[in-house]
Amino acid sequence: MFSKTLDAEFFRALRNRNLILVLCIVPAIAFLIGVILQASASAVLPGLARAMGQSTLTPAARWERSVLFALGAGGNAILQIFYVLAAAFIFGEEYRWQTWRLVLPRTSRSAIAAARIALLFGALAASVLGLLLAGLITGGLGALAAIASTTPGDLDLLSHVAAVSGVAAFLWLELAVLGLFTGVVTAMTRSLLAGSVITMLAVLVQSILSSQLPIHGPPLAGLALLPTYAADMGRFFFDVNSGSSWRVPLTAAMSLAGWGIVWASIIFLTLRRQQFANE
Amino acid sequence: MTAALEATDVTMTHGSGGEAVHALRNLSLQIPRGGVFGIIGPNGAGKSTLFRLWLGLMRATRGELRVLGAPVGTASPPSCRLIAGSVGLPSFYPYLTGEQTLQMLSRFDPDGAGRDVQALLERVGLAKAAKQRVAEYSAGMNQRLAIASAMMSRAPVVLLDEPMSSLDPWGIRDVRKIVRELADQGDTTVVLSSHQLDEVARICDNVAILAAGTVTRTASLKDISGSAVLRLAVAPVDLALTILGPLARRDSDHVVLTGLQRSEAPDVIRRLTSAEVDVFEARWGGTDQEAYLFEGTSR
Repeated sequence: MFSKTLDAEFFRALRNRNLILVLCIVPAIAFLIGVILQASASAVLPGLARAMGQSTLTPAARWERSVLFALGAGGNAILQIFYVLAAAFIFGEEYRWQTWRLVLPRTSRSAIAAARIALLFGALAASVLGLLLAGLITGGLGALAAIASTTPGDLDLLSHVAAVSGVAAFLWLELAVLGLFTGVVTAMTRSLLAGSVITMLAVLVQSILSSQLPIHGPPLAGLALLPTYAADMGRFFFDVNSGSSWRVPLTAAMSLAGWGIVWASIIFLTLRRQQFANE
Repeated sequence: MTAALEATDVTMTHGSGGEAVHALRNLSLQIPRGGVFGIIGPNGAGKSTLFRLWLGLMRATRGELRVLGAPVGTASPPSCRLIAGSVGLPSFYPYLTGEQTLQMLSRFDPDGAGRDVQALLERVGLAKAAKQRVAEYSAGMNQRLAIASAMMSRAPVVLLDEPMSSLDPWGIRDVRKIVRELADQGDTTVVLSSHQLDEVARICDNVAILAAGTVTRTASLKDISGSAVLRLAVAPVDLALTILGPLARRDSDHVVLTGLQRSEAPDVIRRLTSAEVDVFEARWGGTDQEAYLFEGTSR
């Protein structure tokens, strides 16, 4: 029943222009800003690039910086509104169009909840891949422009790949928790708008609280209670390669996974109990 | 033989305390397999609520519902392969075309991939609008698509909530034909709700009348058709009711007689005048089906 439901969900999602648009916006913004910055650093302001040490970077390091910059766009609290909207579209369609009456007699509520969560995970993974691609392309452009003036030195590709993979994984985890929370609020309020607004407020509050906490030696309570902070610390570990203990990213990952399980469970419970008198 | 649909002592209450609204009250109903079963009643009688309960959209406050013997509302509903239908005004995803809507719905079914969507659209008269977005559909087209989507799953029980609403006369004729074919050609039980008695009378084999959340009457259409209604303006009304007995009922300052043959009318009037009841007017009107409905709903 789950696989059939998931098949139907993907069929519908691939034809939902609004959903596809909001998932593409952040990679598109990251790509555009990346192109502008690379052009500025390499051509318009070569002096500034030298001053910032950009010209000493190898093409591989340049790529890594570019990809990490693109992934950073996904972690931006303001740009995350597009992911919140994507999750609201996934979990709120039936309330918005009153189509529970169409799907519910055909499958179980648990299968619908599981399929929606799987669709959210897939959609976010696609968008994170889009960010990676945007970073690779803009990094490639910059690297090609600088290749003549750069001496090969840092060829430790493995460390670059590890850094990028770690940051991408934490970004995906953060967005998944964000999306699931949006799903909880959307299902409980039965409103796409309420789901989006309340989640964005929660993201902003978390961002403000996170900014009060230290980057080095993060407190365990902060990692456990604030998903945004946990994701930031996880990304920081791989991004800066600070050499700090693996305890930080592990705790952050466990915190994010825990929040994800909590929100997913609430989605299941909410959908199982809801009465659809109008939808 | 197991009934197609069963509801046993079902109560559905919205809200609680002093604000509680009883949509259904101790409703019990058995709908036999096969044919077309009509559920009629005024707005707010509980028809759509009953359909929502059978379709698993809501859970009853009390009581038990079954579809072909399988209980409705369990965690992994075994009933969801047995029943299909639409309830309330048809709603679809506006960004999908009619064709895509059916293709999407077919993916829920185990053998849905091979379903001939085009043939189904042709059957409900939407072949030309297949590639059109549902957002551009008229209310009547939505109604046709709702019927197609109910037929899509080939469930043995199909519920259609007011399927004639929003349709033009040609659409009503087409839907009537489709519903009848659905019931006659296969082993499908079609249950439709309506507040239009004449529509129900044209296609249903049996009916149940719902009023104030409970079933007041069930009957075969054959049993309640045949004679007409005689409406008499008389005075005094109470004396007339006593003389005419159980066939008569009061309707304001009139007496209405049902179950009467046309040839019996002169004798009725003679009995009244001989008992010094003044007869001002005697008029044949309506059908006895209407009277049956009004009696069933006490309105």
